This record gives sequence, structure tokens and C-alpha cells, in this order.
Amino acid sequence: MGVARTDEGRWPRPADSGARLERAIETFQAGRDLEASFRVIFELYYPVVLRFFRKRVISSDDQLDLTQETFLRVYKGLEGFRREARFGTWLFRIAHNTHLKWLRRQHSDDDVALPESDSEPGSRGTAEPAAIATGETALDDALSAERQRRLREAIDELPRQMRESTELRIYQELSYREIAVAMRLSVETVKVHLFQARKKLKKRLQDDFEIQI
Amino acid sequence: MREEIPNPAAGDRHPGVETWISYHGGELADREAERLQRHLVACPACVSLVLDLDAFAAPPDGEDRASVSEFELAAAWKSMQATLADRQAPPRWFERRVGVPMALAASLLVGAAGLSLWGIEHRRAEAYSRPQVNLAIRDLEPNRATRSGGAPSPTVVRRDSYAALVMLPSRTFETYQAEILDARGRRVWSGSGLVAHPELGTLSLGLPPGFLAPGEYLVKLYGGEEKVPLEDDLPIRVIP
Repeated sequence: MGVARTDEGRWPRPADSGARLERAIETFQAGRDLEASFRVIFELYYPVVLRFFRKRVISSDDQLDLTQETFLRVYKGLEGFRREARFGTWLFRIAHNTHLKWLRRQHSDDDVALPESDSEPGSRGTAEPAAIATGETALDDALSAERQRRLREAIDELPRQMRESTELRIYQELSYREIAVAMRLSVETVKVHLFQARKKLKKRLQDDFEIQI
Repeated sequence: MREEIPNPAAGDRHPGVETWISYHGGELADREAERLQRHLVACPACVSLVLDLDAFAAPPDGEDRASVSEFELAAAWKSMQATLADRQAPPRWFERRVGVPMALAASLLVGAAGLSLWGIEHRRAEAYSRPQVNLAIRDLEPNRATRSGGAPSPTVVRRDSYAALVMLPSRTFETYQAEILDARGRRVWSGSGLVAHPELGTLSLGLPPGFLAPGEYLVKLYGGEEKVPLEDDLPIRVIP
């Protein structure tokens, strides 16, 4: 139903997607095949936008509505989109603003003031490192408070990038790739940092407990 | 010792989205980038924002696509089309090329394009703005004999009501296809890309009011793209 697959029956590879996206934007902006070109954009980015709202909004109806509202804005604004930014970044701004607008609506319905908009990275966002705040990870379960304190001190002594990568791994349970994106490093560099961190922590903590990062 | 880290829990402000866009694009000075990295370590919400930004900025790939079934995507597009047609004054592709015959064809297409599509489109309709009673919902184990030992009796659906059919297929496939056959065995609808609920294993199919004329029908399920027939026929009876 409606989604073009490659000859092999797989979804288009990223390179194909990029070229299709470029063509679709050009065609749309030239005022030709508006529906078909917008559909290409919609189908390429729908999963990304939906996932964005799934992470932030509980009601599945609201997730779908906000996703659709985002694309409606894209449709209305695409003619004026200038290639100064990547399309994806432009779309991200629209999704983010759509979310903020929705949050304001929600909060005004509840008669509760919302913090200044631009400091609202996510409605469900928690400000505490996950593991420390919730105590839900396997590591937390396994470690006593004293051990946590010692681990904390040992991590603090690591070099900056290594320390931050380790913290993201342990306390936010990010994957190597996610750490790489967050820290603007290559995945390989993250792996090396974590490998080195593991060695240093083991040595520092003298095998008192297993370090699993 | 550690440098001072912005602590969102203590009321420190999150950097704005434009700051994160600059950070992600590598446009900031090292010192500023390092400050933001310190914030990230203490702030899962901003990490989430940066990861999302990265997902948007990269060309969409197969991983993203796999998170939404073809079926869902087709439904979402139908809904999008309807929204554009409703809200815009009028959408330009209608303005330029579409006359009454095309609009009529489009409405017929909506009718024929698949029951599942109605689920989303009708969310906006008047009928969906309040609770509805007596939805025909059947947790189906097709072809299983009834408690009394007889063949399964048809699920009765009122023609003017919305009916949600919940089916539990007998075999597991990544995707399913479904058909609705009338009493003479003629196919009145078919759809592909059905996916089972990840935990319950159920498939759902929404029948919009008025879609089927009164009579006897059979919902047939097939597994996978190769359309493996399943003995999961669901008889339904539409009554006026």
C-alpha cells in the first residue's frame, strides 16, 4: 500500500532516501506534483516524527495528531524552506515547536504556568541522571551506597571525555552509538574510552566489584 | 575534582533547542561544546533531544522505517490527505487539477482503500467524539469450535455501527494480509501489512459504519508477503 520499496523488497538505503528527499523538495518547491512529492517526504520522515512524539507524549491519539500537525506545517512552509539548513534540522524545529505549543495548550488547560519555552527539552524529561535518581539499574541494585560513592570518586578521576562517556554509559545506559552522537565522537573513540575506563576503574577499585560498561 | 556542572534538578536552565542544533552541527567553540557536554551528562532530557535531532538530521534509514508498518504508514498518509483537504483552502493539488470527478474518485478510493484506514480518519469524526456502546468486538480464535461443540457462529455487526474485530491468528508471521469475501466468495476488500500486537499477538480490523451491506461475509487471514493461507476465517454477519 503506497510505499515504494527497492527492487529487492527492502526499504530504500539512506543514500537513496537522501536523493529521493532532494528530488521531492525540488519538485514541490517548483510547484509540480505537489501531492506526490509531499507524500515522499511524509513517508520518509513519518517514522522519525512519530517516534519523536512517542517519546514525549503519552496518549497515542495525541502522538498521531501532533505528528500530523507537524507535517501540516511542513506542507504549509515547505515552499519557503531555504536550503540554509538541512531539511531534517528544519523539520526537527517544526516538530519541537509543535510539541512546545501543545505543551502550552495542555498547561493552560490545567491552569499551570509553563517554564519559558526554550528551556523545555522534553515534557517527560527528568533532570536527574537516571540511575542515580531512580536506582533502577542492575548496577544500582548490585552496589551498596558505599560502593557507589567509591565508583563515583573513581569516575571523577577519569579524563574528561572518558569520564563523560562512562557516565553516559553507566547512569543513562546509552549505547555506544548514542554516546557518540551526544558527545560528537566516533563510535570507535567511544569504545576506546570505555575500554580504557573499564581498565582504570578496575585498577582503582581493585576488583572489589565488576565494572560492566 | 569535578568542574561545576549545570544541574537541571536544581533549577539550572536547559540550553535552548537552537543551541543544541548548533552543537550538533559542530558550530560551537570547543569550550562551549564542552560546557554543553557537561550538561548532557547530567540531563537525560537534553540527551534525548540531541539523539532525536540526530535522527532527524540523518537521511531516514531502514531502521526508522521498520518502526512503522507499511499498513500504519498508508493509514497515516490517508489521514494526512484528509486533513489537508479539510484544513487547507483548498490544497493546491486539488486547486489545480481536481474537479468534481476527481473528488468523487478520491472519495471512492477512501471507501475502497482499506478498512484499517478508517480507524484513524474517523477519529476526527463526530461519531468518535463520544463513547460508543455495543461495538462488535470479538477476540477471535478462528475456526475453533464453540463451547457447545458447534462451528463458530458469525460475529454480528450492525451496519450503522463501527465494529472493531480483534483476531488472534493461529500462526505467527511478521505481517499478515486480510480479505473480506462476500457470501458468493467475491472479494470486497483486501489489505496487507497487518502486524500483530507485540505482546498480545492480536490483529485488529476496523469496520466503518456502512462499509458492508447487510449479509454474510468471511474475513480471511493470510500470513506474510507470500500470502500463506491460514485457517483463521472469521464469519461475520452484517445486519441492518
